[in-house]
Formats: sequence, structure tokens, C-alpha cells
Amino acid sequence: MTWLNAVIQGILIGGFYALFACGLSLLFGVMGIINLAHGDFAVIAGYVAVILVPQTHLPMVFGFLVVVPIFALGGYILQRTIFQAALNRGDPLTILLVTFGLSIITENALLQAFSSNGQSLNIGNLITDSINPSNVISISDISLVVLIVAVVVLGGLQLMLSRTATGRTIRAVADDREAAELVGINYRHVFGIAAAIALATVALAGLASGMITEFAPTSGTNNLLFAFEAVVIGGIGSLWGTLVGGIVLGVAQQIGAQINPAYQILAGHLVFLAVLAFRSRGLFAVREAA
Amino acid sequence: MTKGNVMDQANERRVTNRPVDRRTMLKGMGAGALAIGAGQVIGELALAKPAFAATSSTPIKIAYISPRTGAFADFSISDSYVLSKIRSSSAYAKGVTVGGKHYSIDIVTADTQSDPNRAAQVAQQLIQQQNVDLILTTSTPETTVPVATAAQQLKTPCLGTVCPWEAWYAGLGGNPGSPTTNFSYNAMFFFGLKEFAGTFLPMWKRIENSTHAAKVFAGMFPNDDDGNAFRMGFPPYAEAAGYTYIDGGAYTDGTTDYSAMIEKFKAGGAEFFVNCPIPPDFNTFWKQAVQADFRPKLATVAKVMLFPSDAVALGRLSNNIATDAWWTPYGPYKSSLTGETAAKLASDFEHSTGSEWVDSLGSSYSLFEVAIEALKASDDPHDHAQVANNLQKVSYSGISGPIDFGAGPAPGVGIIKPVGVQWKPGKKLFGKKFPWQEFVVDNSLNKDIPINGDLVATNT
Amino acid sequence: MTTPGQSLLEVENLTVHHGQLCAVNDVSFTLSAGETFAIIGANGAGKSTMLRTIVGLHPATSGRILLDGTDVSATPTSKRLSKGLALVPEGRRLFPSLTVEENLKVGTHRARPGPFDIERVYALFPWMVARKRQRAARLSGGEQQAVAIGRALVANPRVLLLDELSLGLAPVVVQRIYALLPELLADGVTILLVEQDVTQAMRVASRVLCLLEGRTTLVGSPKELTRAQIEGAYFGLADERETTVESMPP
Repeated sequence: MTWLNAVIQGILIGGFYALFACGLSLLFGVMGIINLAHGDFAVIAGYVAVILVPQTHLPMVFGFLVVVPIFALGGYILQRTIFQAALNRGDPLTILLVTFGLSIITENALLQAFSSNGQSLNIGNLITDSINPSNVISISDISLVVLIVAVVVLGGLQLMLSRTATGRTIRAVADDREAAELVGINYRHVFGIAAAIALATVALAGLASGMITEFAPTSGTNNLLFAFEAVVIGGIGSLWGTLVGGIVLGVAQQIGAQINPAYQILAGHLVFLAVLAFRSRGLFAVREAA
Repeated sequence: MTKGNVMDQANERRVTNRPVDRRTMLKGMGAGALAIGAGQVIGELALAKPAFAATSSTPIKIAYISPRTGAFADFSISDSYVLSKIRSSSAYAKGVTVGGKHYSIDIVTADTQSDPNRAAQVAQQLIQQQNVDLILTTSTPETTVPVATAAQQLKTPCLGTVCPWEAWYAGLGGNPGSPTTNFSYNAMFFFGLKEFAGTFLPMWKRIENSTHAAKVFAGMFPNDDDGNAFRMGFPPYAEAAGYTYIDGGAYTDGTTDYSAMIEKFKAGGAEFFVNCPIPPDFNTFWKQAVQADFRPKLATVAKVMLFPSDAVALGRLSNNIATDAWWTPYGPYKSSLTGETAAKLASDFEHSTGSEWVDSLGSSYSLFEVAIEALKASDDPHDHAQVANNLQKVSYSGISGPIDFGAGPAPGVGIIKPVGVQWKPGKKLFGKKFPWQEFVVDNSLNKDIPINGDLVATNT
Repeated sequence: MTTPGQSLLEVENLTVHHGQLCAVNDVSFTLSAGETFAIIGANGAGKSTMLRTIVGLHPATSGRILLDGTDVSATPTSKRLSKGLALVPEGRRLFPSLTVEENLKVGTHRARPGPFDIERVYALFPWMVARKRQRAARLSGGEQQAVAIGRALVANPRVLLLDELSLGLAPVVVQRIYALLPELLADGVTILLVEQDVTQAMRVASRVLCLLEGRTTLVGSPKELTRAQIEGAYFGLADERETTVESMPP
């Protein structure tokens, strides 16, 4: 029973990892951007929620209605201005350094504005309620909600990418931006759309994180590692892959923890390394990493 | 959101901080080794005293090193306020007479940025470039130990606090199990595992009596310096008192899911809970514990839930979580510098900053009290060896109560006795009310501090 | 639809650089509606650079490009498509992770009204229907070339630019593709093609321009040009042997 619970908990936390990884996967899959500030953006979402949501008198659980549109718009602007300028240099190192710089600026700006106190998003009873099918198995309501959101978001985005014209356009631009221009696609605009979507998912992930645990200006880097691992395990270019990658990571960690709590995080790293070694394109890669 | 970080006073000098190093990149990748290696080389070259001729009118320079920014910045919320209080006290404002001569006192401050490498750097800078006579440092082994180490190597007196003495002593290179080595330039005041046990176990006993809880306790200790020290040192005390120990395992800091550990605790029937995690991990763990229906009768936590902001972040789940408090405004203690009471210090802090009182008000303040004691006992405040020697001999009573550095468990260690507190919804104090407040529920170790709250089971 | 004979595309004193290297040097020509205009020349003569500059993928150093009399030199590439300029690039450049059908659908992104749609492309290349859900990366070179042409066609361009169609393809395949051109012309598409295979170019073109190191060395109709003249223009030789095109070996 405990092993079953371990797997269930692994799936639940995997949903969270996948939601976190979604934005990273998109930015890298479409634009080739490795966003080192990804975790920090999620932290910003938490702070935006802390400041803005109380003013709307909405329950914090609905905070995404406020934060997600802001982040979508912000993502579009960020891509069309800073990221595009860095991409135009042609050197992959430039964009990496830019996101690195953004990470530092973000952390320090947040520290200045908010001090280093941990903050948490208050969702009332949702944080303590759980479904307990048995004595040993407990499924926390909020974790289940996050998993469902992850599946819906990742699945929905995957469907959007494969079935809609916009999705097709994004995939075309991701494949070959010059050829896309030749068929009349303004690839910079498409990049902006992809970034808007990516940052919207980052906002969701940041809110989820703020509800499940607490965040502080420097919390960003912690989840970033797990997000990377989920993307790499799942494979570049496939959002289903990112979902599976997150779950594989979560389950690996929980199984490791069952063996010995000291092995929990390590087990995740080992699976990540194994995928890199034996199937470096990831479980579901759609295209070769650029 | 106003916090206690008031703008620096005009006369407060800061050691220039270089543009932010990207410590994450270099963390653990040899930067630490470089700092310590460099320190050792410089230590060989430096002699006991700086080379310049100190005249009798040279001011006494005291450095105050704390984590003003970064992960431990919470510990330093009261810093600015304490510094302004100290500077306005007559001893610091007008100067002291030592060995028949009068000296003025300069205080310089530095920010460790909650980073061990940075802590070592600033300590070295202050000693070598500013020729400080005495270093005061506070808050967590991560940042106090590197400062103490640098001070020891560069033969400058150093006084630390808010760091469990075993971690401090081991960090300097000693063996807490057999504490014979004297790190002659260092002293510190706080407490250790014995006092943690002395604070927590009486509370367990009382809850056990009132609720007939089983004598089983769960320990959540991560694989870091504090966690490992606790895991080694705490359980023996509890087991000696008849409690069965369930070890949650040496998990990694930053773990996101504690289901395996929680299940182990439930399966073992743990009714008491003790831990030593980093704050975000406790936040995650505690929420998951409630979700998974792990409800110990009493949670006595260390290293977390020390400040009101932690309780606010955890919300109503903070109710009746117990921890140790090393200073409160409730006791009878008075400042050895000005005679003002602990209550007045806390009250003035709250009115001046708008923030709730914190334990570090007392500990930071007492650093400066002890400094004066050590200086006054010396003939020459610039004689580092002598001041250090006197530091280790100080026995006095101040805003943190009586401290005797000579009577501690290791050379240079002065023990202050903590009390058991629980977080409960705040009541009006000093004319203000805050969402969460520490109430003293057990004073087994320190009868000076009155009890002002009921010890209530964390979960009924 | 433009009337045949009307000037459609004008390239005026076009000069293009790759860094320090001058790839196209003061080249001018006019493309009339209904023509098949071929640019020939050796490798590195500047042919592909010229086409890429005409669609805007490469910036011109000086000179102008006019479409229907309007200067499009400053128009971004993606907008030139809706003005009627479609390039089938060198190397096909299909979207490898997209299927055949998706590649064609993307081609309709900014399509102009006209006779070409995806069904028409399937009529031109009946084999595509069975393969339409296959990823483009899996197709053979010749098949990819067909899809690339189809992708450009569905936008209903006024000028279809074809860059090195024969590159990497078997002669049989190349011939089959070139055999299509008359049908496209019948539907009002004007063709500007770049081709290394001179014989092939001469067969289909109504006019030919030869580039050598970026400069125009010869312009004219294949019927009027002798082999010697073409060879001389291609290689930069001064040979004057009189041989008519018809007497050239096939």
C-alpha cells in the first residue's frame, strides 16, 4: 500500500513539476531560449498575486484570473523587446546571459521590494482538505487540482499545437523561421504569442507553488532544476512529453524516498541522468534539439 | 509593506559591497576553498597586531556582521533599530574609559548576504582594511562560523550569537563531544542541544500527561549542518526520557514532497514532532502533514517559526506550534548600558518601526553589552589578545539576562536559557496587536520569565 | 490577373553584399507577366543571393525592387508574400516536423485569392494524397521539392521564384518537375527561376540572364543565343565559336 501511495504522490507532485516545466519547454522548443529566469518569473507571479488579488476581493484560488493575463501580456512584450533583441545577435550565448541577468535583477528587485520573508498564498481550507481512500493513501485537494490543471493545460496546448492553424504556425516557425517568413508568417509575432503562452503557464505554476508551499525572492532556482529535468526527461518539443517527464520525475523521487528519504531528490537526478545517457532526445522528442 | 529595514543612518558606514557575485554559480565549486585557503595564507603572514602604531586617541572600532539580505534576512529585521539604540546609549555615544584613557567608539556594519563565502570575505576585509578591534556577529551557523573562523585566523576578537554552540564550536574545528580546545579569539552566547531538550521535553511531558499521548516522537532533520547536528544530539535526550524515536531520514534541503516521511511518522504512531528544517521546507511539510492527517499532539520546532513573518506565511496552521525563544519582552531583564527594560526595548521597536518584536532584538543588543564589558576589563582596547581573553571571562547581566562565559560547556561559550513558546493569535501588547504572537507556555529552564500563555496541544 | 507582357517585377541596379564580398553587382532586369525567366551561372555567381534579396531575406546594399511599379525594397519578407512574391527556397526548406498536408496548409497562411488551393496541388501531384499525413522529413528529395512548390503555389503568387530546383535530385525527377511549368504558366503564374543546369534552364525559359561573379554577362532569349555565347558568359571566356542551340548535343 505504501508503494501505491508513493506512486500516487509521485504523480501528484509530477503534475506540479510538469506545470512548472511547461513554459520552459515552450520557450526552448519554439525559440530555442533556455530561460534561466524561469523560476524567478514564477516567484514574481506569487508576489503579483499577493499584491493584486486582495484588491479584487476574489478568493485567492481564482487569483489566476488576475495574474495570468498580466503574465501573458508581459510575456509577449518581453519576447518582442528583450528576447528578440538578444536572439537577433545570432549567438546562443547572448540570450542565455540575458536570462541570467534577468534572474539576478529579479531576485534583487524582489528582495528590495519585499524583504526575504517567506510568503504563502492563502487558499483557506483547500490547503488542508484531502481525499483519503484508505488509511495510507491521502490525496490532497490542492495537489489534485494542480495535477488536473497541468493535464488540462499541457493537453490543451498540445492539442492547440497539433490541431489549430495557430498551432501549426507556431510549429512551422519553430522548425524553420526563415521558411516561415517565406510563406508569409511574421515569425517575431509568433514568437511573441509563444512567449505569451509560456509566461501564462509560468504564472499558473507560480501560483500553484505559492499555494502548496511558501516562496521568497530567492526561491526561484529550486524549482528551476526540477523543471529542467522534467523537460529533458520528456523530450524537447513535446508537451505530452513534458507532462510525462514531470510525472516520471515525481514518481522516481517518491520511490527513492520509500527506499530512503535521503535518496528522494537523488533518485530524480539519477533518472534524469539515465535518460540523458541512454535516450538523450528524451522519451517523446519531436525534433532534434536546435 | 513596511518592514524594519529603515534607511541607514547618516553616520553608519558600510563596507562597500562589490556588485553582486553570482554565488549560485560558484556555490560549492571552490570559491569557499579559495576563501579559506586565502585566509590561511594571510593568517600565516599576519602577526598578532596590526603594524600601525595605535595612539591612545584612536577610536575603538567595532564591526557588526549580520545577514542583512538573502535567505536569513529575517534574523536581521531588528538590526537597524538596535544599532540606533546602541549608538545613542551613553557608552557608545560618548565613548568609554579603558585603562585610564578615554576612547570613542566607531561601529561599522557589513552584510553577509546570508552567504558563507561572503561572510568570510567581509570579515577579512574588515580586519585587514579597517583594522577593527572587535567583531560582533549573529544569525545561523552558515554565516557566523566563517566570520569566527576568519577572526580566529587573523587574531581579532570575535563574539557571536544566535547559533547553536555545538555547530559554532564544530565549525571552528572543535569536538563538541570533548570540548577541550580553546579558540582563544572567539566567544559566543546562545545555547545548545541540551537546552533544546530542556525546553522541549518538559512541554512534551505536560502534553503527555494532559492528553495521554503515546511516548513516540518524529524527527525531521535534513542533511545539512544543523540537521545533522540535531539528528546526532537531540534524540539521545528524548530516548533517555523514555521516548521512542522515528527518524524521518536525512532528506535534502528543498525537497518538495514529504509523503514518504509523513507516512512513516503515521505508521509509527508519532505524537510528538521535532525538527530543524529550512523555513520553506517546513511550510511545505506542515501543509502536507495536515493533508495526510499526520497530527502530532505537540510540534516543537527548531530553526523555523522564530519570527512573526513565518507564522503569517503559514497562516492558521501556525496555531499552537511550539518553539524556543531566546529572548522575550516579558522578562525582568534590563540593559546593562542604559537600564531600560526588555519590555521597553520591544515597545520602542514596535512603535518606531511598526513591526512586531522579534527575539533577535535581545541577542543583537546583548552583543554590544558584552563588548563594553570586555573592553572595560582590558588595559588597552587595541590589544586583541587581551580583549579576547577578557571576552571569554565576561560574566554579567544585561537585557538577555545573566550570561557567564566562563561557566559554559566549552571555552568561550556562554549559555542563555530559552523558554518554551507557542504561536497563538495576537493580543494587545504595548498598545499594538499583531496577527500572531509568541506566548511563553513553559519556563522550566528559565524561571525568570513568567508564563503568559497556556500550553495547548497543537492538534487535539 | 496581369495581362501577359506587362512589366511585373523590376530589379533596378541591385547590389548585394555578403559582408565584404560583393555577391550581386549592379544587376538590372525586368520580368514580364507570363514569362519564364531563368538566371543561370556557376556556383557562387550570386544567383541564389539575388532571389533571396528579391523576397527580402537578404538586405540589398543599393538598388530597388519594384513589383507592379511599387517599390517593395523595404517591405519585410512576410509581407512580400501577400504582395505576390513566393520563393521555393534552395534545399526545399519544408517544415520537417509538419506533415505534407500541414506544410501545404501553412502555405495558405497569407494566401491570395486565385486558382491554386490544396486540392489543385493534389491534382498536380496525385501521389501526395496517399502521403499527406506523412512527416515532411520522411519524403525523398524529389517529393519534398514537389511539396515545396505546392506550398508556394497555394499562396497564389504572381511571381513564383524557384531556387535551384534540380539540386540533389535525379535527372528523371528534375525533368518531371520542370514538365509542370507550362501548366503553371497557363494559370497565370510568372516564373523566375535560378538553375545551375544550363540545359534544363534553356529548355524551359523564355528569357535567360547569366551571372558571373555578381555581374550580368548575358541577357536574351534562348532561341537567339548561341552555345558559344552562353559558355562564354557562364565561364567568362572570349570564345566566339558559332554554334546554334539546335545543333548542340542534348
